[in-house]
Amino acid sequence: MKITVNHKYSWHHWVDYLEGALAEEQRAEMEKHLQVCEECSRLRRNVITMENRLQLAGKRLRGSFAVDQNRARQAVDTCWESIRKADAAAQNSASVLDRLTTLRAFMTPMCGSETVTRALHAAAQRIAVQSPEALTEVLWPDFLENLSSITSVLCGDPAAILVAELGRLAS
Amino acid sequence: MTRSDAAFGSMASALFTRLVRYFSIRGLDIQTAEELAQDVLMIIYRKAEMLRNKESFYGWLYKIARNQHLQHVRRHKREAELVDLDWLPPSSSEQVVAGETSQEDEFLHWIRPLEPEEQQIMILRYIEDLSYQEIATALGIPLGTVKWKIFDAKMRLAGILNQSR
Repeated sequence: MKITVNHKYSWHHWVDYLEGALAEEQRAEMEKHLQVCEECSRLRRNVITMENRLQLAGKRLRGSFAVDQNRARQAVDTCWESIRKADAAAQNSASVLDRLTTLRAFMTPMCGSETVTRALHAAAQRIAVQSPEALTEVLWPDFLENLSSITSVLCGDPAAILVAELGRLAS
Repeated sequence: MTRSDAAFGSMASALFTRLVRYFSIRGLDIQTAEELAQDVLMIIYRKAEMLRNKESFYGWLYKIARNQHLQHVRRHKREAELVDLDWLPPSSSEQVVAGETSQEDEFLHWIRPLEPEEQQIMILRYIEDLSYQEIATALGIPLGTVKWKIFDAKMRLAGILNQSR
């Protein structure tokens, strides 16, 4: 964007000048022009005045939005609580998934993968959980008991005992 | 709590205040503003490690805040215009000069004649106190555009306020 705001100076030039970012030589040249050019001098005056007014008005508005520090601390504590809960849920979920993988690996050679999937789902649904992946830490012992009892029917008591032990060791 | 958690905790209260102000100025009630501020804090805690350039933190923070505000507006099926100051009472610069507006509201009345994107830039510059670069990051626009729009807005607003005197 090359816009000549006033006379020979582009807006880039003006912004850098007003921000004090212009090279010394360029700044001196511009100052010289401003001394003799009423129009440019007025533009500088207007923009600087507006800048000061905006800064002051902005500061006033900022000050009027003060938030009670106790309230801010409470809100931050609530954030921490949510973060902790979410972290715990994620950790729990990862841990349950790992255990399911272990059980699946153990049972598949005995019953076949499709039967294992059905057995896991049935054990979860008996405790009103939609799928084994949705199990929580608290429900794990009940789930394990159900799975052990299903395994007993499918593969016999020794396999059922091993499933129960493996599930306990993994948790 | 780890060391970085403690650092985040001490910074979070100050950020919360800034964020509540950011959302309140955009017309949200205090409860919604606080909820969105909490959402933003949680996002920056989760994603803080993704921020490569620490100097652009505030630009990044307001970018997230802006996205959260947009999502909130969309959820509530309102006009997806980020800075729509229609919630302000109708005003003119004459009112401000004549002292009919409170000093706190002065800024918002002044920027009312500007386009929504320009209002957004001016709020980030003069209320949130961001640098040109941080504004560019927050809004995802070129640095030159930010500089030009602020300079141009100041020229125009000076003209309006001088006329109304």
